[in-house]
Parts: sequence; C-alpha cells; structure tokens
Amino acid sequence: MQSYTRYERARIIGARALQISMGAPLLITTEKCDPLEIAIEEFQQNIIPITVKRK
Amino acid sequence: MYYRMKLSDKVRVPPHRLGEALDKVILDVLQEQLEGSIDKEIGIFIGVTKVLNIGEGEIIPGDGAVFYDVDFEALVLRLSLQEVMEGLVVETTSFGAFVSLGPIDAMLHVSQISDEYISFDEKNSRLICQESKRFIAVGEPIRSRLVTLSLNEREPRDSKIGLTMRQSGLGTGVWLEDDMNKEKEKEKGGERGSQ
Amino acid sequence: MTPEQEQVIDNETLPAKTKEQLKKFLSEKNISDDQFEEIIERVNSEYMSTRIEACEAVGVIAAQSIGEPGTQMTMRTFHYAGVAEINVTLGLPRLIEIMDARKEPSTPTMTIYLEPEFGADRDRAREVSWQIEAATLQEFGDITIDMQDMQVVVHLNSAVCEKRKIPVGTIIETAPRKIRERRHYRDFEHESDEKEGVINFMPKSRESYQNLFQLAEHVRKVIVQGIDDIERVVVRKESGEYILYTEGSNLKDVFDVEGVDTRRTRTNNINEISQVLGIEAARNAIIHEAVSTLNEQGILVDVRHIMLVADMMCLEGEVKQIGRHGIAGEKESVLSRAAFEVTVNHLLDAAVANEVDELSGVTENVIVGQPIQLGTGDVKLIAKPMN
Repeated sequence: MQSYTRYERARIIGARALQISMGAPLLITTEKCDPLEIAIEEFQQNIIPITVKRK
Repeated sequence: MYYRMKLSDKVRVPPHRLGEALDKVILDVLQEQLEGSIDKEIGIFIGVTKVLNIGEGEIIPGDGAVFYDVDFEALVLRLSLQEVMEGLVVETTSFGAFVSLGPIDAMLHVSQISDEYISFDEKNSRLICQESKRFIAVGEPIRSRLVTLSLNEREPRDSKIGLTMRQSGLGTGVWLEDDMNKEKEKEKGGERGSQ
Repeated sequence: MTPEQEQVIDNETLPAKTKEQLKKFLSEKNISDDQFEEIIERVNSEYMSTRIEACEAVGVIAAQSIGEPGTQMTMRTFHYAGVAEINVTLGLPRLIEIMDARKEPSTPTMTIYLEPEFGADRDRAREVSWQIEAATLQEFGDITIDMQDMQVVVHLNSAVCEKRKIPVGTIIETAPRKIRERRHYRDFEHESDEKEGVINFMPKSRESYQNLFQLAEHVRKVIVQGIDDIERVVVRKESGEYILYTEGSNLKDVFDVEGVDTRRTRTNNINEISQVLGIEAARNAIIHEAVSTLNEQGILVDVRHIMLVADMMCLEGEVKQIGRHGIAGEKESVLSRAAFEVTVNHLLDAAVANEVDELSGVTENVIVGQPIQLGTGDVKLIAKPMN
C-alpha cells in the first residue's frame, strides 16, 4: 500500500499540516516553522500517523 | 430511575491532544461532552463510567481532529411520569419548594403539598400546613411523585419537573415516620380491642 | 527469441496487443537474458506510467479532451476524401450526429467490400453493384403515355435487361407489385406480354387525365432492381480490389446480396449497425466514426477518451444519446438533471413526487457546497495511533 496516488498524497499531507497548525505534537525534529513543509518532511520520512482506507 | 447503560457515540479528539494515551483522552472528552447533558430519549447523563471499545479514527476534510466511534458505559437518570422519587429540599419559597433529585432539581408547588392551606414562614424558611402544623424545611428528605416533565436538551437548566405530595404514602421523612407510627398504634389497639 | 522468453511475455500483466507487438518485434532477434529482463522491466514501467490513478476525474477530462478540439473544428462539408462523387458530412456536424445518436445520419453511406472472386474481377464487381443500386423502371425501357387508350405503356429494352443480369419476367412481375406495396398506389390494373417485353398500366377511373399522369409518375419512379435505400453506387479499385461506395444505407439487405464480404463491409449509420450486428459492434462503430471524424480534421484525441464516451452511450444495451433524452436525463439526482436543462420542470415533478436526492454525484454536491466525490474528495483517511 506504500505507493499512494497523487490524491491520497495530497490529502494526507494536507490533513497532517492542518493537525500541526492546530497544535498536534510533531514526530520529527526540524528547523522548519511552516506546517505544510513540516508535513511534507514527515511524509517523506514515512512517519505520518495517517493512512488511507481503500475500498 | 437510575440506569447504567451501554451507549455508542462519535468522539472528537482535538489535534493538540493527539499525543496522549488514547483511552484517557477519549474518556476525558466523553465526560466533558456528556456530563450534565440531557437527551430526551436517554435521560440525564450523570457520568461516563467505562470506555468499552474504540473504533477506527476517521479524519474528515476541513478539520484536523480525529473522530472515533466509541462504545461506553454511562450512568443515567431516566425520569418518567408518575414515578415516585426521593429527594432533598434545597430551597423553600412562598410558591413552593425546590427538591434536588440528584443531577437536577424539581419543583414542589405549594398547591401540591397537602390538602390543607399552606403558609410560608419566611423567617425560618418553612412551609407550614395550617391545621396539622406539619411543615417542610430545607434539608429534609422528601418522597413525592413526578407529575410534569419537560426536559430542555439545549438548556438543561431550563428543564421543568413538577412533583406532588398529595397522595398517601408521600411526604417528608418526618411525616412518613409519624404516619407509620400511627398505623402501628392502630394495629396494636385493634388487636387489644378484639381480645 | 527463445520459447522461455516467449512464455515470460505471456505471463506478464500487459494488454494483449502490447504482448503481441513485443513478441513480433523480438521474434527475429537474438536477445540475451540480461537484455530481455531489462526490456521487460522497461515495458512494464512504461505501461504502469500510462495507467490512470484511482479517483481520477476521467469523465470531466474526457469531456474536455473531446470538447476542446471540437472548438477548433470547422463546419464545412467537403467531398469524401477517397471518392470524389459521394458527399459525406464531416467535421463538427458529423460529431454532433454521432454524439446525439441520430437514427439517420444526414448522409448515410456504406463501404461495401467484396468476396475475393468478386473483388478481383471488374465485371463481377459491377454485377454486384447492379444488384445493390436502386434502379427505376425508367432505366429499363421507354415509358409512354397513351392518351387515346388511357394507359401507360412500357417497352422494355431487353439489351439493358441482359446487361444488368435481370430477366424480363422479373421486371414484369416486380413493377406492379412494387407500385402497390412501396408507393401505395393501387388504383390501376396492368397487362403484360413477356415475349414482347411490354407492360400496360391502366388507371381504374378511365376518365381522369390527372390519374393517368399520376400513374405515369409512379411507373417511371418505381424501383425494380436493387435495394430501395441505396441511391447510388460507385465502383472503385483500391489496393488491388474493387470496392463499392454507396449513397444511402441498408446493412441488412446488402448483407443478403451474393458477393458481399460481410466481415468487412461497413456503414456510417450506427443505428443500423446496432440492430444488425449488435451493441458491441455499435460501440466500436461509434469509436471508429468519432476517431475518423476528428482525424480527418487533423485533430488527434487519445482514443481512451472516446472509448469512455462510447462505452457510456452503449452501457444499457442500446445506443443512447448524451443529451437530455439519453444519459443526462436518466441521472438519479434531481438537482443534476435540473442543472442540465429544463430546470423548472424537473424541480416541479420532483416536488410533487416527494423525491429524495442522495447527493452522491458531482453536480449536486457542487450546488450544495460540499466536497465532491472525485480526486481528493474520494480519499478516506484513517488515523494510526501515534505511539
């Protein structure tokens, strides 16, 4: 399941960025301050705690 | 009547609490959500006792929070008309007494206390029956019957519950003891009389 | 290419056509195992990258891909590229005809291929063409009006009849019958002499000149040879064989003619194809017609978009148009239909019938303001526990 479609990727990163902007705890240490950039970095390291439910 | 019920609901875990232990967070949020609230079909929520099962966490577009389907146990007060309730008098006024049934207060109107004429003793905060001199004071236990029920889900404080004591077997703790003693005297006297 | 390599190709998940092309390409060459592995890997990755991802909005993209070049098409009607004499609708009007699933195209035409023995010989090809092209009685002889005897006299030309391989007796038998059946004119009697090749037609009312002239018209125009719908047939030699092009279309009757190759003959009347050859053939015909209409104008649209439209049109077993009497009008959602055409009617009928709109499609969600079920809206996210 590791290869996500572009829509799943967009949704996951977007939801994670929203969570970070609302104060969720981070899973990586980084110097960045933009929630979107942090979310992208978490996605690239494969540690975002969100997954997709496929039918 | 009090019930311990198994219920299901959706719980919203806010993003800033996502790092904590799930069971604890769900219990906390559930308590906050439900305690003191009123549901017309279920009753008055007193508290959540146990979280039984937590489902998958869903994320919906536009909100960063996670939504869980949760099965849990809760303590609920479910009132029905004509039910006999026991409560504590918390306040007396010229138009009646306020009786606490636990999570909610009910009102005992002055016309529903007794067949006699009632007067309000403001100095001592008592409602006194003219002939029998029986009275109701703050802090006394009361056994009464529910006659009107109007629960407001949105403003629980605006709910109105009406009680009556104008039936045999109902009254304050003191009255009921008195009545019971009198019955016992009657029985004893009757026995002696027949002998 | 070794048999093992061929076996490997067969086992791959690729479209059948790709596999055949691959096999054909490699069949003569000697490929080492390393090279073969790399070839297979690259073919697979190319194929994977051409596949569409899930949740893609294919309908919208197909509509745009066909519609945008449509704005660049012109409305001219040229002569058919291959045959100078036959007029065929081209360009945008033709595309509209196809999409509207018109029962009769404005210029129906057939391309009739012949069986090998007939296709190689010019004369035999001509014979087939005479059997197909509708020929009026006028071509077979002289028709005169005898006003004295109040009758229409036909003198058949036996030379023409022989050239066209039709016996005189057949014409004598066919002409009156066809006037009665096809032209629905029954107020006459006829006599004939087969040896002389003469037919006399007499109108029932012997007084009226008007009836006489009317009868004469019918006699002149009645079709005695060929298929009624086929107005003109042109025989041309292309790539070594003789092919018939027609103005007018009647697939069923043409198939009955001897010498016609029923496996290659085609028509541009999609309705006929659907009735004679079935719905799958109609689907393929829609794709073929649409593609050739676009290509003729120099526009190249990926065939998959057109395939999607053709599939949607033929989905229920008959060819449906895209418009409000077809696919768009059969949508379940009230809001969607109302947004398409005739708004007030749909809303009124729905209100009277107490209908419910499930809000499961794209249009209605856009109207209401909710996220749609395409692209990112079709993705369901689940949170994994963080620890």
